[in-house]
Amino acid sequence: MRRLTLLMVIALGLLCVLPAQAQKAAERYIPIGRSPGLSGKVTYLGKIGTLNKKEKSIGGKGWSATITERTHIWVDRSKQRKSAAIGGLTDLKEGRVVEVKYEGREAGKKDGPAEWIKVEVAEPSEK
Amino acid sequence: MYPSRPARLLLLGSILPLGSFLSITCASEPHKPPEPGLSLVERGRQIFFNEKFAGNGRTCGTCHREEDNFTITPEFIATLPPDDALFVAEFVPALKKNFERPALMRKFGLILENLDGFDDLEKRFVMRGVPHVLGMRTSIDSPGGPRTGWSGDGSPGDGSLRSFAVGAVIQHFTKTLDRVPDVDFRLPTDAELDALEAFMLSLGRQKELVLPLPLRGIVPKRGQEIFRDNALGKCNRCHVNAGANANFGGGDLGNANFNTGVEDLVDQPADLAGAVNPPDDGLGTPGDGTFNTPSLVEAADTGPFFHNNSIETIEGVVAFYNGAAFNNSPAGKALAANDPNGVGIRLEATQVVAVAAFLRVINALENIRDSVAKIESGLRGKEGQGRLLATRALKETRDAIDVLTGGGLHPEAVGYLRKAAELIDEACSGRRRDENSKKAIKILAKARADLVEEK
Repeated sequence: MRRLTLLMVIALGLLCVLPAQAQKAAERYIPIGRSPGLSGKVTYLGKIGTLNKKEKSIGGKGWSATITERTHIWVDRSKQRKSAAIGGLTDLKEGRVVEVKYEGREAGKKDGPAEWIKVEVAEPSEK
Repeated sequence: MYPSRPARLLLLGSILPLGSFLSITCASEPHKPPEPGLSLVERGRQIFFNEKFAGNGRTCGTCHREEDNFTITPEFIATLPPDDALFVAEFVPALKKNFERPALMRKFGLILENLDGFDDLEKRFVMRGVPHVLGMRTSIDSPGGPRTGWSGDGSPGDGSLRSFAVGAVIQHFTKTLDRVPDVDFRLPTDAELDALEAFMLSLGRQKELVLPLPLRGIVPKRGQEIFRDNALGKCNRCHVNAGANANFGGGDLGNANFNTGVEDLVDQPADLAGAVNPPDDGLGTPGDGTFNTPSLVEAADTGPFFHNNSIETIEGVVAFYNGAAFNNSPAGKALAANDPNGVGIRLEATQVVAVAAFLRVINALENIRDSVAKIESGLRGKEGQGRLLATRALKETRDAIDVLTGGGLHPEAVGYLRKAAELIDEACSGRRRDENSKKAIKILAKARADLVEEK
């Protein structure tokens, strides 16, 4: 009986202790640096110094981020008063400001796979 | 698991030029900060009901109506004027397409959510009921982080209740489907998020019930036994103490997510209406088919039920767990795997009604507790505040009457509640406020004593 109960705990427990995934859909529209509970605490904010298209990674002095198939890339055009767009690797260019949310909940992380990247396109002619 | 939805490109720019123009012209709407000197909770209340965040006119209270137990029902919707902000999709040109499904809203109280992304607004959405926001202090914590919204992932940012309003503003308050901050809406400030969180956490129960209660009614008492019987009702496994937290014998699992098969129910009202109503895949993108466990103490007066408002009555909800949709679901199968006879949940009709009667009684007890707390708080406050609280207490008392009479339960308690309601009504009108309020408290105690033995 105890074994059965244990099995049940495992079966159902697996369904319920998965990390809560914040609502990524609305995250897209939150400008860089303004994500509640994340910006300034968990995410990294900086400029892209290096771009490695082959390895699908970006980085700079003391930080890097890998883009995986799970990574969301959003183009922040809020300074242009335009809607945020779904972006891709081509939007990640050297010199552009990015906010990186790494996978997991660890604060102060500065490398690893990115859960999402917001990239700022500040100049009206750029995008 | 449900079929994934096809991804489509977003082409809003081509269909919303007028909306974009209008939004820019209105973007400078000034933001009035809450009055200084108010408590954080009271500031949160003001923001919840009055703050439009420079958007389309909606507030949090547009959908979470205090007069309707912080949810919104089709019955309540039918009483609203056509220019109520709830109906912006019916009169704001920029929101006419793909912001809401007005027919489903009016008939079934369903609100459109783009939980899996905003890249195909025509086809990629789900229709959900409005969950109440009562008793949240006990019902959102889990080992995996806070669980908000019907699928437990309703909040952007860090996923917390504090961050919830940010996602709500983006989804529901926008002037156009471009959803540009500081053009179509403004995002809540940190101070506003703090106040909103404090207000939401202040609503309803602040602690869990401790079951079993010494109930007096024969049927509700039996319902409680079935509810707590891990070999029969099995309800207490996922709803410990009729709350929102689970425990399968290995310790508190917090507020959990389960796939209980609600999406597999046949003849769901919204589907019968023939409207476009895509399947809802629950937590995550793509979803895993699970939905978050709500508390049951507040259930009986906050229907319709489940994330899609698919069942109208609390009896129907209990009966759902007898059906094929639940028993063939991952959660139902897991229960069956642990049952010596391989049964998930199988109750007779009398047992279904008994469990529902139990849920009705604990809801009424909560109504009475809340009524008394509000009246007492009103007696301590200034007259205007006292009247306001008495009005809210009256609503709670009337809810208790509806909940009990709806199940044919405790006619004597209902009589007391009716008398108490008359007195509170008098107090609301300002007639012998203190005297009527104190009498009402005594009569509410009699109603309670008819439902449960005092310890």
